[in-house]
Amino acid sequence: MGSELEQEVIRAQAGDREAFIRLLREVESSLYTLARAIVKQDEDSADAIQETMLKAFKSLHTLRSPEYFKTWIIRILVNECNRIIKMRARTVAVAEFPDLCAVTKDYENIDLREAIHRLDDTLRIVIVLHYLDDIPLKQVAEILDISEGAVKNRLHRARKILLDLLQNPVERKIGYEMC
Amino acid sequence: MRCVDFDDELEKWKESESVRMPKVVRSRIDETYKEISSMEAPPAYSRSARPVRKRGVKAAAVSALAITLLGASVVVSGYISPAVAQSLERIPLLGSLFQKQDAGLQIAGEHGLFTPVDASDTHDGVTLKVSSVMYDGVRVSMVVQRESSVELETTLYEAMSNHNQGNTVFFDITYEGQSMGGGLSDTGERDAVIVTAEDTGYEKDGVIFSDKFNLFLSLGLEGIDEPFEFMVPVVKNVPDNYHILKPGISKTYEHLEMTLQRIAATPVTTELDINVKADMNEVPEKYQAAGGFLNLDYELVDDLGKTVKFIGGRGSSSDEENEGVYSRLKFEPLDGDPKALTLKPYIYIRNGEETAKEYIKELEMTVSLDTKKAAR
Repeated sequence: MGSELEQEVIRAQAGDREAFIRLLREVESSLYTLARAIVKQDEDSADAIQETMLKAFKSLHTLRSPEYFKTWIIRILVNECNRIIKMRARTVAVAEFPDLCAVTKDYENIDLREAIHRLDDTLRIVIVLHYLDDIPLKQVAEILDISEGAVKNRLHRARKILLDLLQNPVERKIGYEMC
Repeated sequence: MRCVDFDDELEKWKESESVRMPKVVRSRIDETYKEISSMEAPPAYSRSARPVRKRGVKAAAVSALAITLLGASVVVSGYISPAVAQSLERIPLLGSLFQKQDAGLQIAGEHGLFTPVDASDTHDGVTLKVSSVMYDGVRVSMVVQRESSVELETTLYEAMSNHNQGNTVFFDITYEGQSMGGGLSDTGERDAVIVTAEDTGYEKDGVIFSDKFNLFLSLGLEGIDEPFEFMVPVVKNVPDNYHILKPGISKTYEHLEMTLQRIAATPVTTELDINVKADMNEVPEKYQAAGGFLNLDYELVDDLGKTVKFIGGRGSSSDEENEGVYSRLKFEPLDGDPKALTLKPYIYIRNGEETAKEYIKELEMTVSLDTKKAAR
């Protein structure tokens, strides 16, 4: 697959649009899984993916090593997701509350999915990239433009928090999260 | 506190996340594919792997050769100074000029090692121009182009070759007042040729080009009395990391004493200087060629088994003071990263109607190539 992918990238860079679309089809479910885990909503995921694909198309010529196509496009996706998260945080005005599901002050056991959703964005992103898409630490570092050490650090902190959340019943919170 | 198996939870989570794409996302993605299909093709990334025969500057491939000979830190990688790049754009057909030349000149052309110059002369409505020069420390290659207001019947190569009624090509190359050796190459283009100049460093009292000098060139064209004269500024513009070895290896066999005096290897040329001392009274007849010359030819093979392609040679034939006969042999540049070269002298033996190569194993010489920069 390695060199086949590279060949497709080279064709795409030479102007073959169909080759580029084939590349996108290869990665589209990865992109969706990642986007959804990061931005947590389907509508926003669709936005992120569309922006990512168009940006990738326009800047394909800047990709110098074809074998890094997947890492490269995931990086674009992560940036788009971050952009969306930031915009979302800004647009929820203080005076206005989003629709929420019923809030209770129950203590409950949550599963990992819920726990991950409660994580800080930066921590959630490393968990999602490394554990959901099985991206090796080195590539996660490249995607996020941080050092491998920083990635390990974030993963370590995230795991600690997640374990803590899983092991101890938590109060359900009100937040920007959807149900 | 709840008992938690983190890895188990991870698996469950992964499964729950790998859901089928919802309609809103699926249709958005398909929409995007449609949009891309109808968009204008993005700026094409020029890849060195593709043989690009455009004029002007291209991202040049850094051959393995270039990396080893030019040193890891000098990543040539197609770097061409903006000034040169600008001028290269003005020279028509530069890319196609070297198609018929040896691999070394082709490499030089592709790597932008030909520097534009502007030396021209006009006679009888014909203008000859030395338009670019390359000097790698071993050979000087000059592109000569012709312009004329009238239509000309013959190609420039023919016009130069026929100058002396086909006897010899007329050109004269002078360096510091002394006559240098040279050669003429047909490019396949009607109005362009390549003239090569070499110094006489292999001769006993020969001269060696410096890194920067002027060459005086005089060319004759058929049908025009006056010679075209140029002063060509030459600068060694191949990065200064190439081997010059003075192995001084000698071997003797059947009254032939062969010495490999010098090897020069640049990204454009491989050159060997060989000296052969022979007492013509003692040397077996099979080694003798008419006129007191030796019948010797040479093959060059690297330690990877590859034969380095011969381009041409020149030599001195007189041996009045028993100094030996000098040969200077030009080969294509080395390919890959050979660690050694073997020189294999041979003669042609006539077997009735057939001629066969007979290698002289006793005179075979192997030189290991020093990968460090060596001084000239």
